Amino acid sequence: MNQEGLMKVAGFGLLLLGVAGAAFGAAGTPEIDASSGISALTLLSGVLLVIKSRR
Amino acid sequence: MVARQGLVKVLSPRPWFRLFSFAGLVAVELALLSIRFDAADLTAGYLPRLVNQWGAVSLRFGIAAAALILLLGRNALETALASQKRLPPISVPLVIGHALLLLLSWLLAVRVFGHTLAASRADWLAGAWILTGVLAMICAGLAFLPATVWLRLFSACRDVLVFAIAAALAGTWVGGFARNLWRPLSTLTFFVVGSLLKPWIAGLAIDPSHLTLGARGFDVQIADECSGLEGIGLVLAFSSTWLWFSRREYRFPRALLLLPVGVVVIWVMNAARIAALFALGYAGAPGIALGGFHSQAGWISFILIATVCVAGSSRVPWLRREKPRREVPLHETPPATVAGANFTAVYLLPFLAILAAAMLSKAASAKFEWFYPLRPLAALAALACYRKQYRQMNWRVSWLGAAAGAVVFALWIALEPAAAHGTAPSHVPAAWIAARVFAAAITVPVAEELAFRGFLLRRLAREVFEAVEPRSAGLLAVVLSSLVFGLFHGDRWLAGSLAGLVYAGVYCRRGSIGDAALAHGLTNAFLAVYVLSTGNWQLW
Repeated sequence: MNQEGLMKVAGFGLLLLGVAGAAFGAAGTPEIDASSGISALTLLSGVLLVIKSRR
Repeated sequence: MVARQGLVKVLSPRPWFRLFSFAGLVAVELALLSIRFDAADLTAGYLPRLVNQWGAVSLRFGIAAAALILLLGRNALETALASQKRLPPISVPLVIGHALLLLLSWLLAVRVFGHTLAASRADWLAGAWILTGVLAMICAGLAFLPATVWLRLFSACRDVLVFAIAAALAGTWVGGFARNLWRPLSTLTFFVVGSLLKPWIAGLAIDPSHLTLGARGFDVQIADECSGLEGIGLVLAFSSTWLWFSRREYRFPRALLLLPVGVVVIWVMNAARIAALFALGYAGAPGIALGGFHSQAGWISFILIATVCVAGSSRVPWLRREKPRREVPLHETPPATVAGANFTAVYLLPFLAILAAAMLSKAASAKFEWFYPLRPLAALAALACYRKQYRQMNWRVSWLGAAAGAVVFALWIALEPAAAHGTAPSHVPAAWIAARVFAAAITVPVAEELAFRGFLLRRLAREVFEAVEPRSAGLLAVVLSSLVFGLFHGDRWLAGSLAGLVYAGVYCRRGSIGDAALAHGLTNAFLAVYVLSTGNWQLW
């Protein structure tokens, strides 16, 4: 398989995994407190934005 | 003037605005429907029971599929829409048709959800309800975009559509299947937690049949839900999405190694979290262990792992390729005043520092947040880091900012439910109250105005946000940034959004971050005086 084909397969797998992961995460278990979700995800997004803009 | 220009943009015949307006309308209508009606009430008839069983799953599937289509099909959508520069005006008869059908659908829903019906009658009514709802959506879709444009969009996104449906179906199925893994994983977690605690806790009682650990009257049961599966799901979703969007910067297949490493680390950290929770309770702080620590530690672990995964992998040449530098067009060059700094960090760091300090402070608290002063301290430290850059910003203040602050305070109190009246926690030290007032009036307004107005509002207008003149940001950026600001205020989202609109108006009017911070600070200062004088702690 050439590089482009490999990338497509890897990309497809990654996206499928991402959706499946989100479904895992939405299973409604209490180990991740939903009420803190907005703050936590904002913090993570902000940190990623700062890291990205450093490059 | 700004408002009028923005309004023209929102209603303009450009296809993207029409598409998003349609999506927004559908989202609001579905949200209202799901708030007013509960599918659990549908028990009579085949069709209502089908909605009861599959309604929520179908909604999740629809949202996942729509998000994937927008994410993956963006280029195809843009190409398809590029040839359609202008559209005919929005069809008024179709909008009226949509409203009438929606009304009919709503009335039918009231009948279907609100009464005990015979099974055959319930089926007919439910069928009519679904049909009118679908027809209402079709009417709205055709009102915003002509059928030819919809056909072109479907044709351009055919492959993405098939993939999105397949992936959303797979995700929905995995969500249900995941429950089967809870038991075996929680048993494994139990043994790891027991092994971590055994050398340190004298007289640790371990009961494998009930998965409970106990010592000195403090017992913890590793329930099925504590298996660590949710954290694993979050890490998989995050790292695979990150790798997908940064795929040109990573070397494949070796970068895929980040996925199993992340899964193992988050699972081990979940076990360590439960062990730490037990140790806290054992050491005499069960309130903290089962309160703040329990709710925050999972998120703290996830954020740490995600940050280390991104920042760490970017420093490993074995995983990453050299990223070609993007040529910044001359007109996008940022102003020289704060050149040399990471602009995103300059605007976001104080707000992020407050969020991080809040998580840590809550994790170390039972019910009352004693460590609140950590928040203003963290904000001050972050502000000190970029003090040179802040000195070069426009901090001029005016009466407009002061007046806006007073108006928002009045608005905030007016929108507060009359019944809401929290009681003051007992024995709060004066130093704690001083820190709370200082944060409310100084550090929070400055940090939030830098983040929401200085960064988000301008970032929504253009990627190189530092080059955006606030006056030219446009109404869409003002409205969206204010809505996001409102969402951060939980139940008070409406008051928060309106406050955001006022602060954004002040910022765009005079282009001064100082004016917006003054308005915000005065609102919070008035609220602090109100809380302390009336004892209505609900507002804090």
